[in-house]
Amino acid sequence: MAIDLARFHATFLAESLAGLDSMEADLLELERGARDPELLQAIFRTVHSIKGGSGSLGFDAIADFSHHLETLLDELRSGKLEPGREMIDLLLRSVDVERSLLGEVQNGIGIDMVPVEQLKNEIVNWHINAKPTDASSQKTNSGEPETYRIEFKPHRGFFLSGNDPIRILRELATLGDFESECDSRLLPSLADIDPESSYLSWNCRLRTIHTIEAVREVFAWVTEDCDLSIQSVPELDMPPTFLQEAKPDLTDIERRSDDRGLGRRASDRVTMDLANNEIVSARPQTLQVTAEKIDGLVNLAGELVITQTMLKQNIDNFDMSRLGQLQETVALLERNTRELQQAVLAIRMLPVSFVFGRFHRMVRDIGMSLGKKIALNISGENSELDKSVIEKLFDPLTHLVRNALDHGLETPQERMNAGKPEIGTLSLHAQHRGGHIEIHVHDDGRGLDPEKIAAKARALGLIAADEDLDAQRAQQLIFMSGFTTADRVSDLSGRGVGLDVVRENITSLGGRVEVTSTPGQGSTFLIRLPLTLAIVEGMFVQVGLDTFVLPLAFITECMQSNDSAIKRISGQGMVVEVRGEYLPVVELRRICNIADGLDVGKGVFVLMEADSKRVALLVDTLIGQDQVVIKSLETNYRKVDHLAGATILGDGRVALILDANSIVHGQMH
Amino acid sequence: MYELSQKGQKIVQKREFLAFTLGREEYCIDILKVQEIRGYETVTPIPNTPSYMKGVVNLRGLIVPIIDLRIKLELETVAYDQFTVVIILSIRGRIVGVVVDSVSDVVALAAEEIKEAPQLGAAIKIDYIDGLVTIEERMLIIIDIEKLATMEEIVRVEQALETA
Repeated sequence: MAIDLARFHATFLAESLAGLDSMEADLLELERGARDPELLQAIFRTVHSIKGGSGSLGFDAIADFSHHLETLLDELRSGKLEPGREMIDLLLRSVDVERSLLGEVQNGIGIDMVPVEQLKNEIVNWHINAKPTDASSQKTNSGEPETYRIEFKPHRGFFLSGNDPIRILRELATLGDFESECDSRLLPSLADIDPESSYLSWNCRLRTIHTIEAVREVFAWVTEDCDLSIQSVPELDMPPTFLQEAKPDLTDIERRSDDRGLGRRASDRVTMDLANNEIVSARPQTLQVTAEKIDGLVNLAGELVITQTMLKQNIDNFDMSRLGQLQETVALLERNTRELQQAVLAIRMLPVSFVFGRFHRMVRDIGMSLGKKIALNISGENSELDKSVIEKLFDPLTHLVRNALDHGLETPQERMNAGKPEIGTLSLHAQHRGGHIEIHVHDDGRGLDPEKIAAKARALGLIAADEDLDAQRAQQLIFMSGFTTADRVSDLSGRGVGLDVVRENITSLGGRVEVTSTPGQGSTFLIRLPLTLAIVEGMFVQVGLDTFVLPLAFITECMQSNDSAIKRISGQGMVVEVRGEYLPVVELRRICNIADGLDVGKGVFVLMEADSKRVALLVDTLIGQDQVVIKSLETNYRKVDHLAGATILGDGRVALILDANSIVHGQMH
Repeated sequence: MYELSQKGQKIVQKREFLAFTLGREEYCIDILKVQEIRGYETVTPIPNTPSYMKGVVNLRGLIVPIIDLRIKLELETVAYDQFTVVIILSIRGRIVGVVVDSVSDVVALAAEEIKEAPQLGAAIKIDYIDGLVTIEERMLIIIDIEKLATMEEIVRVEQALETA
C-alpha cells in the first residue's frame, strides 16, 4: 500500500512555479545592482525546496538539475562567486529550464533534454572554475577529513511531510565515506503496522572533509520531523574499501524496508505514472486568495444568517404595528446580500501585478537582444481585476510591449543623436476609473510616423493617393490586419500580425484600445477594460413587449427621436442629425424582428459607440439602469446574432443582453 | 437483454419511456433523459431563431431554451392552454425544454416489443424515429430526442465554428 503521492503534485508544482517567479524577480533585482544577502538566501531556498520536493516525489530530472544549481548558488551565497551579468544570465536561463521541467511534469508532455543537459554542464563548469578558491572556504575544513556520528530518528509522521529518509541518507553518502546501520527494533508486526508511519531510525558514521554545518544542511528540511544528533568523533580505523561496502548497505536498507511494506520508492513509480495521467486529463484551476478576503466572507455569511433569524422572528409574531421593524430588517438583508455579492466577486479579483510582473524579464531579454537600453517603470500594479480578464490580458499586453521595444524605442545611439537620454523608458500603468480599469503602455521612443502610415495606407490602397490622413484615421489604420510600417520583419514584430489581434482580444473582453502618439516623443496605448466579465452595468430598454439590456459602457447619450432630425437616404436607410453629425439609424425592432414597436420619430435614440464607430439605436422607451449578472446562452443553446447573453430580472423573467459591438458593426454582416 | 432470475426463469429487461401526446399522435421518449415536467410559462423570445424555438426561460437560475415540438413536427393546431406542458430534458449536458400537448403515462417496454419504423419514402425525413410500439390499440412512436431536439441546431453551430 503506497501513499498516494499524486495529491502532493499539484501543491509541489504550484509552490515551485511561484518560487521560480519570485526567484526571477530577485535575480533581476540583483542584476540592477542590489546586494542584499537576503536576496541570495531567498533564491537559494527556492532551489533547495524544489530539489527537496522533486527528490521525494521522484522527479529525478528536476532534482538532479536543481542539485547542480544549488551547488552553484551556494558558491554565490558564500561569496566565492560574484553575481555578474553572465552569472545572472546563466541563472535566469536555469529558471527557464526549471520551468520547462516542471511544465513537463504538469502537462505530461516530454521536452527536449538537450538544452537542459547543456545548461547543466555550463553550471558544472562554473562550479569547477570556482574550485581553486575552495581551499580557503569555510565550508570544508582545511582538507583534513573528520568523522561524525549521526543519529537520525524520523518521527512517526515523517512520511506525511513528504520527505524520504533514504534520499537524505543518499545525500549524506555523497559527502564522503558513509556507513549506516538501520535500527528496526520499533517496527511492529506486519498485522499492526501502519504503512503511512515511519518506524525506522538510523545510526550513521560519516567521514568527510565537509564541515558539520554542511552535514547539518542535509537535514535542513526535516529538523522539525526527526530527532537528530550529529557529533564529531575521534578518528576510527576504517577499511579503505569502506565506500564500496557502504553502497550495497544502502540498497539493502531499501530492500528491507520494501519487504516490510514500508518502502515507497518502487511503488512510487507506479503511483507517479498514474498521477501523471491524472494531471493530463484534469488539471483543476486553482486561485490564490488572501486569507483576509476569506475572513471577510465568513463574517458576511454570519451576518446574513443573523439577519435571516431576525426576519423569521419578525414574521412569526407579525402584526401591523411591527411593519416598520420588518421593513428595517428587509433593508438590512438587502445590504448584507449586496455586501456578500461584492465580497464573492472580490475573490476572483487579482492585482494587475500578476501580468505586469512577467514583463521585467521579457523587457530585459528583448532589450539585450536588440542592443537597446531600456528601463521598465511599473505603477498602479495593485489595481485589481477579474481573474478571467487578467488571464486574457497577457497576450495583448505582450504584443504591445514587444511593439514598443522593437519599433517604438530607439537604439542608444539614435537616442543620443535625438538629444534624448540614452536609456529608453517603457512604462506600464494601471488605474481604476469608474467601473473600468485603464492600462497605459507608454514608451518615450520615436512615436508613430504619420507620413509612413499614410504611405503604407496608400500602398495598400486603403486611402486614395491624394487623400490626407488625419490623426484619428491613422490610429485606426494601425489596428488593421496586415498593416505594418516596419521596414524589416524581425522575430518580435513587423509581420503585420499584432495590433489587429490586440484589438480583437480587447474587444472580446468588452473593452477598447486607443493609441496617442507624438512623433519623436513616443506613443501611449490605452486599454480600457471592464473590471469583471460576470456583471455588467446595463440600460434596460423596451421594444414592443420585450425588454432588452444594453451595456452602459457603449452608450454615449440618449435622446428623444423627432422627425425633423431624421433624413432618409434613398433606399439605403436613415441617418439622424446629432449636433451637425449624421449617424446611421439602427432600428432594434428590425434587427430583432419584433412586429410591434414604435416607428421612427416616436421612440428614443440610444447613441452607441464602439471602436470609434457610432450609431443611433431606436428603441421604444428607456426603463432604467441597473447591474445585471451575465448568463451565457451558449450553455444550453447557442450563440445568437446581436446577443451577448441573458440575465434574470427581479421578477424571475429572462431579459436578453444585446451585443453592442455587433449592433454597431451590424451593417457589415 | 436477458438474465436469469433465482428460479431460473427468463427476466426481460425493460426500458421505461415517457409517453406524451402531440395532436392526435402519441410519442414516447427515454425517461432517463427527462429531468422534470413543468407547466408552460411565458418565455422570452429570442430574435432571429426558427419559429419552433419559442425562447428561453429561467429554470432556477439557468437559462433554458424551449422548443415547441408541435411546430417542429409541423402539427396543424398549436394551442397553449392549461394542459400544455414542458418536458425538461438533459441531453449531453445541455438542458432543453420541449413543449408538448400533454403527458400521458410512463410505459415499460422490452426490446422485442419495439418494431422498426417503416420506410415512408425518401421525401419524408423520419430518422429521429427510433421505432413503433403498440399497446392495447395505442400506437406509440418512439423518438430519439437527441436527434430531434438539439442535434440539428448544435451541429450546425459547431460546423460554423469549425469553418470560421
